[in-house]
Amino acid sequence: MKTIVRLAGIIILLWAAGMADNAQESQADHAVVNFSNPAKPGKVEVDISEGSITVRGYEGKDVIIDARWRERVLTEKEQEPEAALAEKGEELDQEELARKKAQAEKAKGMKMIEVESMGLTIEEEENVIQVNAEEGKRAVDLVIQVPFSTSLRLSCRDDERGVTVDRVDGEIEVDTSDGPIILTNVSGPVVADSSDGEIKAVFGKVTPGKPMSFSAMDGDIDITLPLDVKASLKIKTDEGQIYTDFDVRLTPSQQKKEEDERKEGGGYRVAFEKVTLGLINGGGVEIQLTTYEGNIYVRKAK
Amino acid sequence: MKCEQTREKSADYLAGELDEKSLAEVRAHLADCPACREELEGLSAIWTKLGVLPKEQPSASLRSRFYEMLEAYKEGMEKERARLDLGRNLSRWLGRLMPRKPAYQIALSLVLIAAGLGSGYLLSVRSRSAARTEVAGLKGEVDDMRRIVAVSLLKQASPSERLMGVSWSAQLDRPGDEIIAALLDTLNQDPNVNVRLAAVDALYLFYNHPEVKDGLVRSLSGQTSPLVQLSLIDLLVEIRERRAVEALERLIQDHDLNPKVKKRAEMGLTQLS
Amino acid sequence: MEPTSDNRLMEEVRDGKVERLAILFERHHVMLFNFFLRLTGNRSLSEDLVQDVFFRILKYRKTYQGQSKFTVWMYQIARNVHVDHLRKQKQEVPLDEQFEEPAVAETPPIERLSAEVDAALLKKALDRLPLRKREVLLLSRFQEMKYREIAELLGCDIGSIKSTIHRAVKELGKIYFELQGGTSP
Repeated sequence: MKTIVRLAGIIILLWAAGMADNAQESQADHAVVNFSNPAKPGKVEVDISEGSITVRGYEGKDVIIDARWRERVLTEKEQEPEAALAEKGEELDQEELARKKAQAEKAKGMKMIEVESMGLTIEEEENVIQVNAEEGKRAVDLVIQVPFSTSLRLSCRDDERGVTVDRVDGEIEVDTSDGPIILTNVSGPVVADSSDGEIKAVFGKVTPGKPMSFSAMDGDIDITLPLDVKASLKIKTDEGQIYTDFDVRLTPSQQKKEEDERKEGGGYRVAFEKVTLGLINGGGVEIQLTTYEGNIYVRKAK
Repeated sequence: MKCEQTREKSADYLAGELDEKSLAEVRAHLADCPACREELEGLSAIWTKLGVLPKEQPSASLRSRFYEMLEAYKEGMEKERARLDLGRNLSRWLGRLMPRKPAYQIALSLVLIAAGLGSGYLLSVRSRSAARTEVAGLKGEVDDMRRIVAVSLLKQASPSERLMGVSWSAQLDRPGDEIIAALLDTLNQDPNVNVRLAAVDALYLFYNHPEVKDGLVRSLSGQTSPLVQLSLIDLLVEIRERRAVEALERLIQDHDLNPKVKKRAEMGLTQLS
Repeated sequence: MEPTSDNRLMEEVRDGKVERLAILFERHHVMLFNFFLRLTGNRSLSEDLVQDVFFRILKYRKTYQGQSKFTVWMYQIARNVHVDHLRKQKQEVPLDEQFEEPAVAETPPIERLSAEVDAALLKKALDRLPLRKREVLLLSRFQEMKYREIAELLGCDIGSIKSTIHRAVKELGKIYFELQGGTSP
């Protein structure tokens, strides 16, 4: 049985002369959703085009969603009606132009609130909760609390905040285009990719037998694993460096051979070539780490 | 039949194990004895109701753990066997290798020594492969199982399980058409970048398979993720696939192409031409 | 072609064709998983226990006699695995009359379909049944073992199995009825 909840934001007109250009947060939405079968681990899937996602594990059985909508600030261009019109390529007569100019004068110093329909759609079916933000120009910052054992699938684009997850034990699938991905106190498996952002993951423990993969085009990948983890690393980087303080036993790759250079102090600098295979504590969980420019750090949990 | 006897027969009654005669006797007693009837009906009701309990499915990791354990056990067995067979195969192989004409024999040993290998090195390689042929038959059967599991893993909702599917496919000795098609499908359609990356690596291992080279070239135009594009270009260059030239040229024309990928594609072109 | 019998497959495993175990795994692991799940109420524990069972089957494959039915042997191992687990938990192996901690199952909200409510209550009642009675009931009702086989498995006479079934179903009914009374709106 599907449960559909639609949240509408409240529209507020702000009168603020000379407000700065930084995005301000306006109204917040709040929803509590329960899983069809709370006894079994559930899954939460979030897909928003603009905004950030923060997920935290907590003791309860329900999923609590808080959304804060960011306002859109008029760009320079939009504040100048002539320029805006010129963009559209319209040709208006003088009268029309004068009218638009008068309107612009009235709106000067204020922020325009888009009156388009906006809101979050939340659906639950058979223990999977889907959260989607409708396509529009408003960005939303979501803070979601989930039971510890929940699995996640998160997708968003943002330049500063990205995705943050803390204390969740289920499988985590994340992708962002700009924003960072920061996972703490997770146990995986994690499959994460970011085009421009960095990826950071700190594992409290690692679920054996479930492969993981991290890939970042420009950002660094920084993962921290428990001391006694049994893992088989497969690392590929074009221009990044690889650092680790684990005692990694290198094995020849099926694809390429690589040299192994060691330096003193701190960690080992491992491999120059593109593909490096290494075993930690004899090998186990397959972890694939791929970057183009970013560095790769594989740390021991202290 | 008395009440006590009926009670004794109740377990068989519930399980449907009563023979005709006993069933008739029980029924006759129930007709006369409301107490027993009530009890037996109650028991029956619960017994039937238990059918309502759903049959649960374990997670996919159960299966993969089992197969990993089975593999490991088999490997352990093979190592034992190989060690035992070493002695037996040595003499057989020696006889086959050494040419009969004495002059050639000497020449061969000279070559071996010159190569700095000594007969010892060649021996161990050869006997290992002989032992391997013996267990190849057994291995083929595990391969079959692996294939079934890999294909099903590739269809799962969890990206981690699909990664496992790719990894299992990669470990097959003889992948077969179904696996190759599944891997190419994954490369082209999987929603997850990481899984597609893994598929590229797996397909590298099978590049000798007829469908693969073709599939890789065609895949290039459809990829949007820069990391996957890079990986694919590298692979095509490495296997010196000339047919990729046209696809690379087209890729470079794409305005949206990531500049780093463009650079790599251009390098690839020069390397392939 | 008729599928190979469990016994035959296990004999092949015993004699060296270890990969045949995969077929036995595919045939039985779900039932085994459900058996443990109904015993323990814990999914991941049940998976671990299933793994243990197959590990032991491999380890002790050479001891397989082929006189008992394969499933009887398998459930013997299953019970041992369960008992070992209980011991590791520092619990006393429960006697017939002792209660086990009821397992997790949540009671779903009232507006759900009545079959689901039934199932949940029944599961709860089953969890409250003492271990011995529960085992015998599960083996008979769900694992589809004949009383004769259960008797062989548990090393007692068939009469006592039948009377255990009678008492188990009766007690289960009683607990279920009590639970129903407790949650009616």
